[in-house]
Amino acid sequence: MEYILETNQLEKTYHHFKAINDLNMHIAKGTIYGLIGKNGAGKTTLIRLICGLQNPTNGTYTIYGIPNTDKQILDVRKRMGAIIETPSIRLDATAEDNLKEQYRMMGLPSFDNLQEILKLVGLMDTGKKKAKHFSLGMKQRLGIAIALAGNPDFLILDEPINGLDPEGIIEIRELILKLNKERGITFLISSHYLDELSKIATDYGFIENGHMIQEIRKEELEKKCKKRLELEVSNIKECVKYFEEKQFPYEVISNEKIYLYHKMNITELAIALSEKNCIINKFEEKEESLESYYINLMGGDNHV
Amino acid sequence: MYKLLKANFFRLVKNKIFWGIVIITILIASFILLNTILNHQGDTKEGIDKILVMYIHFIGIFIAMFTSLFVGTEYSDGTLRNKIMIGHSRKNIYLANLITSIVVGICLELIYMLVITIIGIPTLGTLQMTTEKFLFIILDIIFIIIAYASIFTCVTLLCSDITVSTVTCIILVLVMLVVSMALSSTANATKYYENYFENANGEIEVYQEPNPDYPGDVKKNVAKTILYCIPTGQASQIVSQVSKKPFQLVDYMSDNELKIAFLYSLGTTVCITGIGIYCFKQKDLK
Repeated sequence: MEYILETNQLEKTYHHFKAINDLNMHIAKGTIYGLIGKNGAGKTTLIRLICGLQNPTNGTYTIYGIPNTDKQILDVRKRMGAIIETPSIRLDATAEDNLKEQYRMMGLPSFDNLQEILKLVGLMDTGKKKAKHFSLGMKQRLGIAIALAGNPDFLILDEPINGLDPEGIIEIRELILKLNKERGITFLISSHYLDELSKIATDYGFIENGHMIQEIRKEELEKKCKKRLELEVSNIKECVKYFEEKQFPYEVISNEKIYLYHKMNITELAIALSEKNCIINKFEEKEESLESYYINLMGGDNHV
Repeated sequence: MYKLLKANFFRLVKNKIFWGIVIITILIASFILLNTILNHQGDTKEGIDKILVMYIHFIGIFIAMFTSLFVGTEYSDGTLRNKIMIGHSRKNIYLANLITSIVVGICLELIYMLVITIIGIPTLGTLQMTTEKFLFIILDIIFIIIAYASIFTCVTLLCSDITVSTVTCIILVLVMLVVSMALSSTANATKYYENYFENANGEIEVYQEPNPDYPGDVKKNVAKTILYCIPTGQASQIVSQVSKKPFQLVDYMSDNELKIAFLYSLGTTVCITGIGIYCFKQKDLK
């Protein structure tokens, strides 16, 4: 698998505080990677490291296979764009002037696709209105437009929907999906809004105390979050045999525990299994959302 | 770096702070001219020497204001992050901002000199000093501007808060002024001073007496070196040198020192910029 970004035992220490601790992360090309963690978990610090705003204390990261210690990393950064916390825009300039400045800084030969980018983010008709008079959503979209200036194929968005109204959230979500599908842009998005993130992300990374707890693909997570019967049985072999015969989807968790991803009457199931000398000792019906999955993963007493 | 400079200069054209300082500079030049013309007595034209170099007293505060606000906005708007994120090295970002400040400083000085020259020459007369001396003064002034710009660029890029950096830069100018004033009496002290007495024939005779307050050669040279390294100090020495009256017994900058004074500013610039770039490279940006 081709990775756009990989981190290897990344570490960032401020005095005696480890903000990032032995962190390994993998972002595959074309994915929308949702970075999830509570406040102070290290999401923004990680993004700052990746964007070159801060230097790691230990460990390395690679972008398009180029390690951060290589001088070529500066060239590779031209292929990425980012918004960290708040969009980096000149408040006393118009949307067009902001974009033009970015074009100049990037050394782009002409402003040819400037209008196209403004149209893409829905800021075509802002005219001479200065960015300081924009709504939060418009500022966020202008930030994305600036990040798109060099036709990047990797975009990093830190809390892109923070403070946005429902309409603004939908606009940003649709824009991200459009850019991912139409332009093949890979995204790294950190967000507190897990439900919103679950609508767009294709991969997830759960971060806690600066450490990556788990990386999981959407399909895998959906499978884990699917409505299921969690069974504790006396004879796991017979139970598996029965599910195989019936072609029910299942997952063996331990010698006693098995998940059944098939809706059926519990009495019928108990009778069928007892005929096979298998007794159900305990059962529970479960359906998880990304939020509950996250809370369970973090031990149940943490919140986003 | 060319890309960064291009972006900076395009931004400069629309920058209100820059144009505001340009207008203030023109007003200062006009006021100084008017004041000199009104106070001018006698028929002999005294020339524009003194007032032509006078702006170097003010330029520090203007470069401090411009640099802290222009570069500081990069922090407050977050556009500095953009530059790093799109692959510009921190060294280039630092140098591009330094060059922008230097260019603005030189522009302000040129605007002032232009106003003084155009209006001053017909009314007050031409330069009285030699062309060689004038060229060395210009060279020194340019390097003083470079030293100022290097100090304020360093402060602004190492301090992420625009308000703190602006206040720090302005306070720094005042501190440098106070330090220069404190050092100047030591640096300019003469070994002897002149005394007069009336001899038996009723004639006035001049004799030199050792100055009891003379700090000694080592102390004087140290004070002088520090004074020349501080832009405000060197600026006051240049203005005093140009305004110096004949037979005045104060050891201001000599003509030979005038020729090498820019080297002190160059030293200040190299040291401050070296430290600034090193610290900026290490700085954790948010």
